[in-house]
Amino acid sequence: MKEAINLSLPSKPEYVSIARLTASFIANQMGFDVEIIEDIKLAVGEACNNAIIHSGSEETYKIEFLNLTNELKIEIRDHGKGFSMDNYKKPNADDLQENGLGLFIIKSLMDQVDIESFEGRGTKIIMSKTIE
Amino acid sequence: MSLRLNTNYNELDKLWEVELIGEVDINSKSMLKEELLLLNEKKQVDFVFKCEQLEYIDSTGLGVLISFYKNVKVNDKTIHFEKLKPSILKIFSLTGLDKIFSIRN
Repeated sequence: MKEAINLSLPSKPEYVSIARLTASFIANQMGFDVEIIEDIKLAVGEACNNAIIHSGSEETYKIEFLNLTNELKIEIRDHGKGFSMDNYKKPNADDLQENGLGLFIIKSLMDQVDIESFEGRGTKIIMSKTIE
Repeated sequence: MSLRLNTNYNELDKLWEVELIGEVDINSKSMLKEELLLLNEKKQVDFVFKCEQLEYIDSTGLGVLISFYKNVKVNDKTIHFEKLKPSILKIFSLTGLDKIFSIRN
């Protein structure tokens, strides 16, 4: 089985909770356990934050949830400014900064994460979680 | 759901008590930041965050807390967290914040 749920959201902070609620609803329906649902919800929230922060002048970004029966695959795509992964630094607990924790959290919580970002052409984050 | 704050100055222990209710995220972080800076302007004392009803926090919310911690440290004060839910505590551990902040459960 393969079912897709698509959202297109304005690049504004007040709509991120729609994506988070959708994520927890789908994960719950698929049968993930409570702790994993929280992880998925946070990872989706972080990816949306990222889309908004890097959105530049673009007005919307898109999220696709793919229900693959025992795997949930989520793609968040914006057409904003993009960023270079070369500038990404893993956070350091001794010198924590205000920014840069989002991608780290996504990578820590999801099974598989692919990030494609091209300066000037936007960012695509694809992440997945398998039901154990 | 959004964020609601209950703030109280504890005369006895000489500290600010801030109850975080709801979600600290990209949408509520500015409000939280403004409120905290305002309290810290009124009285430079320690801060206790009561988190029993804190349901969600993301990296932008943590960012506000990290930057606020730098603010209170200037006055030799600190911040404490009380009663974090397991899902929230997990994020504090993941990001190493449990080593920086004092957490009492």
